[in-house]
Amino acid sequence: MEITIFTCRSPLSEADRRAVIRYRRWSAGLFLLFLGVNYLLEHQQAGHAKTALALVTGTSFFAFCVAIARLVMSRLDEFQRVLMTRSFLWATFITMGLVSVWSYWEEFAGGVHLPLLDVPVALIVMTAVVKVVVFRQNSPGEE
Amino acid sequence: MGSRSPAARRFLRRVAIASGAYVVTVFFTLHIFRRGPLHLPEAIGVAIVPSLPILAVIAIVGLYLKEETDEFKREIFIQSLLWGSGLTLALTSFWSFLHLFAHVPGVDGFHVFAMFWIFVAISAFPLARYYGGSDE
Repeated sequence: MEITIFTCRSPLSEADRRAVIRYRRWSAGLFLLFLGVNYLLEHQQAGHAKTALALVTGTSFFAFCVAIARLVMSRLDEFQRVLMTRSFLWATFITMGLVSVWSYWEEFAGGVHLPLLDVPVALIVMTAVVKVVVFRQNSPGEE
Repeated sequence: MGSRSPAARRFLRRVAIASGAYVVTVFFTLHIFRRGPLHLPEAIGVAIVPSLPILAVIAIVGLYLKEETDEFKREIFIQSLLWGSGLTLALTSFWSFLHLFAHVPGVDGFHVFAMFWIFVAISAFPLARYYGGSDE
């Protein structure tokens, strides 16, 4: 059976298969860590322990993003890596622009509050959207 | 930095102009809002004015990446941007969870852009050193 990840449509090589397994293990572990620490946070009184647990939650979320990025990058050739970098830069700047516009609207015109956690989530979503556009524009059929 | 390329000089000049425009627009916006409350469409229009120079900076970065002919400098800059983005992503995630669960003070969204550029600047130095650049 042919397994495809994002834009890479070639069958998985042995190295790719190991990368996917490694990603699955990491993401499952991080997800369990995230759930466990969240459960502890619900039942923990405020204090240093709660701060440490909040840091662990943030770390697990960030590590999950890193795991996805590593998997994607490991599956890309040099050209796709350039496109991926371009997508990420575009996504970063679009997100930064939107966050800035929204923040000034919020600060001066009473706009709805933008939680900080929405910024990394927006960046990830924006990267996924921009990636589709950039890869489609540069696909061999478009040349 | 005696070895600045023409593209880098243009980049710095444009960023200086955009920064000046940013300061002016922030004061302009504060001045307008201190005079009294505005209706919603006007308020949104005026509130968006300070973010225009920020959007200009984004366009200026795009222009620099297009105009810079020195592959090495462009690569260092791209890697700095990626590091800046990653570190901003990390810090905003950490801080959000600290804010949610440990009730540390929140951070306003417009600090994110400043935070991003601070990280870009910080990461540029070790990257240039790591790759043996002589741009400092």
